[in-house]
Amino acid sequence: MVTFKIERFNPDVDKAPYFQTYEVAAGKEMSVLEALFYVVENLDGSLAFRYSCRGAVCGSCAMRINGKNRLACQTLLKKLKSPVITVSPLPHLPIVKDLIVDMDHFFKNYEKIKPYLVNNTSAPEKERRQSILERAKIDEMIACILCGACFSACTVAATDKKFIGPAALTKAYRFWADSRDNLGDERLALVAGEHGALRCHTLFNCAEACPKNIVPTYSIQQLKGGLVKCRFSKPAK
Amino acid sequence: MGLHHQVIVVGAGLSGLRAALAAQQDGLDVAILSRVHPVRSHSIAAQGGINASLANAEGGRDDNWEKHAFDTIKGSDYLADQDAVEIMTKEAPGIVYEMEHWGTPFSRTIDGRIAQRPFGGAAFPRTCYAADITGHALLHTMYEKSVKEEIKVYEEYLLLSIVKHDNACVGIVALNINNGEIIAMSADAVIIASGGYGRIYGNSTNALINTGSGMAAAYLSAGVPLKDLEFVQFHPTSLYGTNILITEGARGEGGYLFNNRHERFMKNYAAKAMELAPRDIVARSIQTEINEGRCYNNAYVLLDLRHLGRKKIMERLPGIRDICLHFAGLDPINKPIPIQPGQHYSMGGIDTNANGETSLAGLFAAGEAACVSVHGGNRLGGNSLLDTIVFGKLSGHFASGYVKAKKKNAADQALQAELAKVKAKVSRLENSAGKENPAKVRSELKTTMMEEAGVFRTKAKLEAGLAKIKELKERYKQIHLLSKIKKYNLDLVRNLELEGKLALAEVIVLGALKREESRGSHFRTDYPTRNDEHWLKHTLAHHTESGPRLDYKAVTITRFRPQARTY
Amino acid sequence: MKKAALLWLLQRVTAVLIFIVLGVHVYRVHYVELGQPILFAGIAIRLKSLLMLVIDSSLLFFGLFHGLNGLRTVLLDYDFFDRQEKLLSWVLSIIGIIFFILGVKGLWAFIIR
Repeated sequence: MVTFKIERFNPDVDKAPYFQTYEVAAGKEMSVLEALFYVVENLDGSLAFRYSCRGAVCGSCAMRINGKNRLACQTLLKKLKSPVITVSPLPHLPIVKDLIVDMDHFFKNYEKIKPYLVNNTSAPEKERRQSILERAKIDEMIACILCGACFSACTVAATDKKFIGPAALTKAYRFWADSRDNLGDERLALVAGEHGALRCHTLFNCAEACPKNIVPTYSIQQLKGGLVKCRFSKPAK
Repeated sequence: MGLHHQVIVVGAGLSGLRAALAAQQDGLDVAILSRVHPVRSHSIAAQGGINASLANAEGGRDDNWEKHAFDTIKGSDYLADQDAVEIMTKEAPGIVYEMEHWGTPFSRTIDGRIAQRPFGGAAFPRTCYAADITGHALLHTMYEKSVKEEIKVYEEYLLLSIVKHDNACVGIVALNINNGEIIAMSADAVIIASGGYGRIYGNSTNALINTGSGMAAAYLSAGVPLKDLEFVQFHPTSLYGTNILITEGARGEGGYLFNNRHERFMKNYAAKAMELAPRDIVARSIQTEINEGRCYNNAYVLLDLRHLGRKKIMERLPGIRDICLHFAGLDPINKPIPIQPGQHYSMGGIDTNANGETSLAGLFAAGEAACVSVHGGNRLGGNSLLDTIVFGKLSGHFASGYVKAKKKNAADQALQAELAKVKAKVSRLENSAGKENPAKVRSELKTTMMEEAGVFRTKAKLEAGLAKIKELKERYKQIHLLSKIKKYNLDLVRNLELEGKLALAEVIVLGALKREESRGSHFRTDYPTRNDEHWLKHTLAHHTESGPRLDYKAVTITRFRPQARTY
Repeated sequence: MKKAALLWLLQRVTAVLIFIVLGVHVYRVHYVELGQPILFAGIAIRLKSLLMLVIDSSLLFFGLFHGLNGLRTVLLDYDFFDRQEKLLSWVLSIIGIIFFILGVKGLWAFIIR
């Protein structure tokens, strides 16, 4: 038996979040997500959480487990090495219910950076050529699953509600650095200003939280460098 | 009058998003209704790649759409409709180039073209890939495009019913999971792109949301037949334990399969193609090794990548390495991966033609939820991503053509009547005084399907399976919910899905029982050969009160006569 | 956009410059007269050297800029200050100027009376 302390909150009835304790009959290879299903099926049908792929690619089940933002599906109980497992929703995001948080703000930020390839030249009949090296530049960033673990772990995003946040900035870099994209300085303008890339304090909380081992700070630093170069290479608009 | 959109697409995976983009491009008011946020859709989990005869790879310069079509049809064990396959394989290069132009970060060849790798059942390296996260790369690009085009998405809604009026589809009834409200939405056309039903099976590579709710709604409420549902693909290599997919690309890049005697046992089953035989053949070979004891723990064999070397694994299969590290605690650079076959894909689905049209006017289907059929008895790896985008696009355009041509019919009454009916059903479920534990019904269904309708089937097994499913259907009527909460009631959602799962399971097993031959993924040990004389035809299952009624439909054959299938 | 990028860059530049001038300062103050008692006369000699005055004044300038700009960055994380960004920047600038004048007055006391 493993003890689970799970944060519960239903804004329709509860005044404040509280913890509830469940005893889960845990198998050796059980993940936190499976343990949550055990609770729903056997102990408490009212527990709510998001799930989909259970293979760490869809980004649904990011939550705070033993004090760290992780994917519930990817976190095996045996790796936590802890007799009591504490599970709460991603911090700094509004709770919808129990372990489900409102991701609207996260996706609004994502939408701000024009998260799509822009190339104003007419499309060739076949593919746009891209060298292996050019493609390698964005290899790390395209692994992002938009789970929100980094955004929730970022203390700057927690205090500065206008900060675009690490995931959107990583996405911004992914397109800016893509040799096929020609939005160029206009992309930088989207992440400029006090609440863009320059707001990052390089705390690396995002990198520590990322379940896909991405280092958003790297992308953000690249954007900062780009912004400075852009500041001196071109007259202000 | 409640919510209305000209086209409602159910499902926000690759085919759903592509269909919505197509219909919106035609100037229609479109909305997507999805169980999850678009990027959480199961398309994200596709790994190996998407097939298109680009002829970019060194060994594949002579490739063309006809060769792609032939491989697909041979792979399907000649059950695919050849006219549809022709459409898909002709469209393929254009679709891949379009995705590339939209931003998909495909891996590249030395000269900067889209890289292609060998895949099972293909004569050439034809599978375009982005490392081993091709589905992820494509779905993110498609989602990005939908953000750009400002496609409206109703997130976290579960489709409960499709509404008919005057022999046409006029809307849907759905559950807003967020607040428990059941709503009706009227639409001039509905496109079902809600994916497969993998979670009917115990060992499945599928996402937990793959419960076949769209297929079930089309079958149960719209009365549209399901086609070829007995053809269930088992992926040869799913990770032992969690059954997470280990891409066919691992073998495409040169991985070997070994039994416990350290034999590359595929030489006994497909001497020429070896590990790159089509999935049905490799899955059966592995299952045979397991059944005959040449395996580990009575459950798995090994997929060995070690000889590929660290560099190639890190470059081409980084996601597979991550999965192994996190879920199996081993590094494929130093250790072979324990694998076993797992349910992976449904060749069958809602009966449609190549335009995505079903037998009900105004109801369309695309992707895994649909059966066009381009995959016949067995789908080739790399053809499903292609299927989702090609037929997503086509169904979107055909749906908008239909909407523009059709006369408006007032369907408000029909919608309200269906809404009341569904509400009554849900409240019956919520207030059921039964004693049955739904978790038990669900898990018994999974075991039954694995054991009685798995890789190897027999009359006795299928009959036992059918009896069990009938029993479970009865028990379902007595289930007792643990929670009546309105907001995010997972208990309710999962048990509403369970009804559809039971209905689909019955169709699968009945179709398999009646089909007395072995073709593609459907293997009957009591009828081990293909029988073209009697069974070169599609199964159609119609819903009736007393269970599925089966009839059959001819296969379209254009240029490739059925021949013996050897690899 | 331009201001943010400039301030971000200056923060890095002043960090490097502080590293250099602080090095010279520490060397001159703590190593050149190592072991000798600290006497008024010794300090007077140092603060009459034009080179050291320039070094120490630059250290003061870069240090103030770096510290206050850093403080500005931290404060702007909070909505309260963010809404008063212009005022905050002015207040911090004025604090900087006042401290710089006070500091310079002290440093240059042996030369300008």
